[in-house]
Amino acid sequence: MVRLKSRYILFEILFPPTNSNVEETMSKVDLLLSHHRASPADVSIKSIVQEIRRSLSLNLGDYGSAKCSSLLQVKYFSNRTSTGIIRCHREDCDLVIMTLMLMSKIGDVGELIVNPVKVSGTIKKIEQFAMRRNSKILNLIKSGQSSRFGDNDFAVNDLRNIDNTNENEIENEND
Amino acid sequence: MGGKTFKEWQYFKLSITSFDEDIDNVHVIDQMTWRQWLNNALKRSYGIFGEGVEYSFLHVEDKLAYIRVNHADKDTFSSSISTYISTDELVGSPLTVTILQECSSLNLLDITDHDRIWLKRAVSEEEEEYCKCT
Repeated sequence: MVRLKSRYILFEILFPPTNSNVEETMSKVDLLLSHHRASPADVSIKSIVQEIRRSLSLNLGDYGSAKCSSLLQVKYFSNRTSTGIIRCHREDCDLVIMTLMLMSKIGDVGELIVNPVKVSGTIKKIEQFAMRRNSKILNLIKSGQSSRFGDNDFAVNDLRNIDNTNENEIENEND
Repeated sequence: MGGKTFKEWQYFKLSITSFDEDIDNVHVIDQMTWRQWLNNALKRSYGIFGEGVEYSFLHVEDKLAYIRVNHADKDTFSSSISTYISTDELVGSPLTVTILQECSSLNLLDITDHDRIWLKRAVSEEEEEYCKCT
């Protein structure tokens, strides 16, 4: 019997500051905090699915939309952390990731970025990854705040390091 | 070893109709309308990737059009135009396109005596292009 192969995509919703001048004057910790905000109540699993389907249809047409929608599910979304997990077909994973990146609004909430963080073959691994990533970001913010809103070179490089170390910790999970 | 000839283009002979003779007789379909219809069809079926499909008109004669499509995109093109019905916005009535002929060589196209001039020009242009490449 042929098994249905699926992939799980961990994504986060970022809310970049709308005023670019503010962005220049902000410290890196503040910048990180301003991007990682809690999502408004309008952003729900239902509205995310609707927006993904709309984006799929817009960018990939009827054919691509139908192809990707076959197994598309939002398994989890937390408004508090603006983090979610999407399940999709293994073959269509790239298209779904592309669609996520092209989204700029969810429901009535605009000017946001959907950032696909990681793809995995099991939901368990992606949950573990999300927890590790969040706790490391939290530690970074705490350490950044304690060193007077650090001019230390943190945000982008350190986030990249978090992802890299997490990658190394995780063994191949391919089915 | 038998050398496989590289096919760059696929040629389509298309006809557009609203299935209403009165409307068909009133409207003349120009190249812009054809282009709009084809772009809409490609966009509907394949989104932004469909819009990127390369095609060009060899000749347009009201309800008939001869189109050149990149060989790699021939299936995308044919499936999108054969599954699309336009809205009323183009001529006030939905339009559909039928593929009358599909071939990989210009010389295989079904044409009338009136079409010989543009076909000859298209053949010579293609040969010129081929000479430049080799």
